[in-house]
Amino acid sequence: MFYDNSGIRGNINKAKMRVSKTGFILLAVVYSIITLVPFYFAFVRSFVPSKEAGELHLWIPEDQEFNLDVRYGNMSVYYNMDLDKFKKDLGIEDVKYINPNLTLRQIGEKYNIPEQEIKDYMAPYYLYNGWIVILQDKRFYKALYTTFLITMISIILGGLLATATGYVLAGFKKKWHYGMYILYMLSMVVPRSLILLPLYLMVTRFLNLGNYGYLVLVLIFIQGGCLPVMIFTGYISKLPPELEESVKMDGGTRLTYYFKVLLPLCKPAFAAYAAIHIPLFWNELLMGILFLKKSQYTLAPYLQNIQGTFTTNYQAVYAALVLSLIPIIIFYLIFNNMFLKAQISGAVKG
Amino acid sequence: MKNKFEKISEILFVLPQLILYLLFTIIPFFMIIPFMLTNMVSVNSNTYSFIGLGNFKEIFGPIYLPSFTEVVSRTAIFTFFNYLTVFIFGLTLALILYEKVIRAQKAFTIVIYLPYVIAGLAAGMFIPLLFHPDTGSLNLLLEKIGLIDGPIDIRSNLATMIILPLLVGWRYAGYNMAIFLVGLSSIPIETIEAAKIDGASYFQRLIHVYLPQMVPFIMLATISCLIGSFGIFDEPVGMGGLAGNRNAQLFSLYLYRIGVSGQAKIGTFSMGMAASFIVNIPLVAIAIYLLRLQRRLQY
Repeated sequence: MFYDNSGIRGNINKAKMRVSKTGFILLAVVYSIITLVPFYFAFVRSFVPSKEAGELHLWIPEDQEFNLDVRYGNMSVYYNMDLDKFKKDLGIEDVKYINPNLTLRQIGEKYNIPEQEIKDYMAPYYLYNGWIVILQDKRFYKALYTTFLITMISIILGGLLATATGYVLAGFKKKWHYGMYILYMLSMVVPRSLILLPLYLMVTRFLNLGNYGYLVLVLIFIQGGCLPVMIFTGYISKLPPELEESVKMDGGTRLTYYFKVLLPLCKPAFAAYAAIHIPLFWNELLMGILFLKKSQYTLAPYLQNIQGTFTTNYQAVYAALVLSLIPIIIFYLIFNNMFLKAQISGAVKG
Repeated sequence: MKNKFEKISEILFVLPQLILYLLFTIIPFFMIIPFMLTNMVSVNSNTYSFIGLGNFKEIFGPIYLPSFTEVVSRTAIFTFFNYLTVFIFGLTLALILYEKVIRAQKAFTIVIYLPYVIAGLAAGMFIPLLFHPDTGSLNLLLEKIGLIDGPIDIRSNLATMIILPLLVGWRYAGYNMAIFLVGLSSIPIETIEAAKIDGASYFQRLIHVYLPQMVPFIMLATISCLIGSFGIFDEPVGMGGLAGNRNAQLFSLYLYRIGVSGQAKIGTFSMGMAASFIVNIPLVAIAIYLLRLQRRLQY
């Protein structure tokens, strides 16, 4: 090799190399642990009852018997319980008002409900309160479903649009091609906070789309920008021009070429585009809370709403957090090849 | 005639995306200037008139809370520390992967990008999870081990200045790492070998051989960091920025509250536009300057 690893100099070099090597490995291990720690704690904390949140929990706490000395009034604060359902399930639905200072034990005595029945009913709420609240929340499923649809539609439409743009611009055969390319590249230097207010003004006042939240979201997603245009223009410029010529010679139009030849050919570019943008669309918060009504919320706005609503019920907040992380992490683990490849090559072109 | 058809069909292909891009990015960009010179109170105001540079005076006035200067300086300090984390995380990780000392490169890369695929909001929520003064898991753990005396308070300025940049740097570690990795791969190996022969330590190699030849890429990471830091939204919201944590209110949150909550005590809509302009136009100018410099250096 180029340098001599024998002799005293060589030994010093070898020692130096070993130190940096060990140092690096140590760093990598520490970093990996640090990265996984928050996920772990989010999972554990989703089981820890709010009252015990002030103590350190390194693992899911043991299931304890539900304490019947909880005051009725605290039920909705700590357990976000649907009190009408509670009364109905325990057979006391005709009781209009229950003094919030009564404990569950006293309620049991007053209305002749056996203690064990209340205990059994409340049993899962000690650990699984948060999970029950979220998994029974219709808005959660709606948010999941809506986010999935919007992401899928945006990726497909955005890909089609970006391919069309890349198709025309590739190779910069005319002057305005390059000009338009630069126009799209400008989005790289446009900060989000600059566009925030005027965009809101544009959409709600001038385009009057204030009530079409989903449409606005999709349109904003598919408008493209520096990355999609860069990806497709770059990829298409490497395709042989004979392909288009042969389609034209057979009497085909641009459209024929686009649908029958170009789109199937651009699958790798589309994969890169999708790999980068699926997480971006899925996790979008700002556009969601700007343009959607609370009943229409996608996943990230939903999570933010939960954070604001259930401030005292940590189990619910962290259960929602964990649940919202699961789909995207699954996607990431399945498609990580495509994702990593797109990220690393996408960095260059910037 | 065939030529005309060609030209029209070309235009038709680019038109859909172009229209959207103009509507939602370019035109809003130019809309700022007329509107920041009016006294429009909220998005729905119908009566507003030209007031010239009045907004610019009002922004610096004392009435509004949080004040413009407070938010901007907070965001600027955040940007500074965030920039440090670009190197602390991005460069270090890139070096680790570049020197190929880890056998499980792929697995490690998967771990590195994990914070990037989750929602910024979720990542931001990790901060109170770990560092809430009463219930933060990491606070409790560190106190128990005895490393710290009292809890690190996420409501303090310290948190916004140190912990939030760390979180954001951790989140974008993969992104910055990719830029530096490509930069490292572009270094001619002979220069590294020459340094090794001359007996340079790793640190010396880093400073004198690696970094100087990575300048265009460092600039790229700088531009991204600069532009991104002033627009950061999800992570501070996760920290409670919209739920009362005043120290988590960075610039984007400030604008959001002005524009959408219409809370007049923060400021009017047109003031928000003016604020946007003051902060972002210099930013864009710097970014374009750096970008052109970078392009020239790279080739």
